[in-house]
Amino acid sequence: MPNVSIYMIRCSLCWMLLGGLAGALLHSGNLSGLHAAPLALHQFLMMYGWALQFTLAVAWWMFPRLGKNKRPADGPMWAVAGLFQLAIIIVILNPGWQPLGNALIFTGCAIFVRYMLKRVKPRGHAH
Amino acid sequence: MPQVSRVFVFAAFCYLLVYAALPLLESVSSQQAIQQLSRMSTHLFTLGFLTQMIMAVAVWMFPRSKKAWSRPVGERLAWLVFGLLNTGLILRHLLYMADGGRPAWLQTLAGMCQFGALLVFVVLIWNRVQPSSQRGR
Repeated sequence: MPNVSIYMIRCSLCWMLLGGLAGALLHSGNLSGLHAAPLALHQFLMMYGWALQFTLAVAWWMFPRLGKNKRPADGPMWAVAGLFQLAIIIVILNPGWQPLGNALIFTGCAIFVRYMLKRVKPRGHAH
Repeated sequence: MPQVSRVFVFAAFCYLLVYAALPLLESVSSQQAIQQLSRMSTHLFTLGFLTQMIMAVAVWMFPRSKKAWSRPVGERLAWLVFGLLNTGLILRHLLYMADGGRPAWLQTLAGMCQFGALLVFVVLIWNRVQPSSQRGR
């Protein structure tokens, strides 16, 4: 498993715990009912911080390598990881900045797709 | 694939079917319970399907290391995650469907069961997130 996947998976587990705690408090009525800001934060953490980040990290680890078993450079994926953590921290600090967070998440996804497309290929296919 | 992962996947498929069936049921039935459940059904998809599928694959495919729990302990922890998550989810959705007042302690219990499941999952999987060269058992 490449280091960038380890970093992203561990971050996603931490965000999942934080998002899950916010959800549990919301559900038990301890965070002022279904108040808009905590609910939006819970959704952002669980969808982007947890599920999406975890999925992208595992895909980067498991998809077929480039020709001759060569691992792709992890640089672009480190950028994706940085953009995701930055987006989440920004939204935690100020839920009003969620549009900026969404833009950072979109940029991260676009980079991921750009570098992942060439690894979507049949088994044994040399690049 | 270990048995606990198969059960996770089976449960995830059940939640997916219920989630996909709700709009159909809503269009043919005017029962209030169905309407209420349908409005609050996001967790059927996100926790019931998506998260359980992720957990199933992680328990099955993540590399085992010397630092990770032994196989029997790991399996027991995975069953605990499964039990807590599904108890919390089912309880939560039964509460959504209830006509009368929803006891606060039951809502708290449902939330804590789900959070407990996430916590145990992190404890279970944390040391299996590691470079492949550190593989052990």
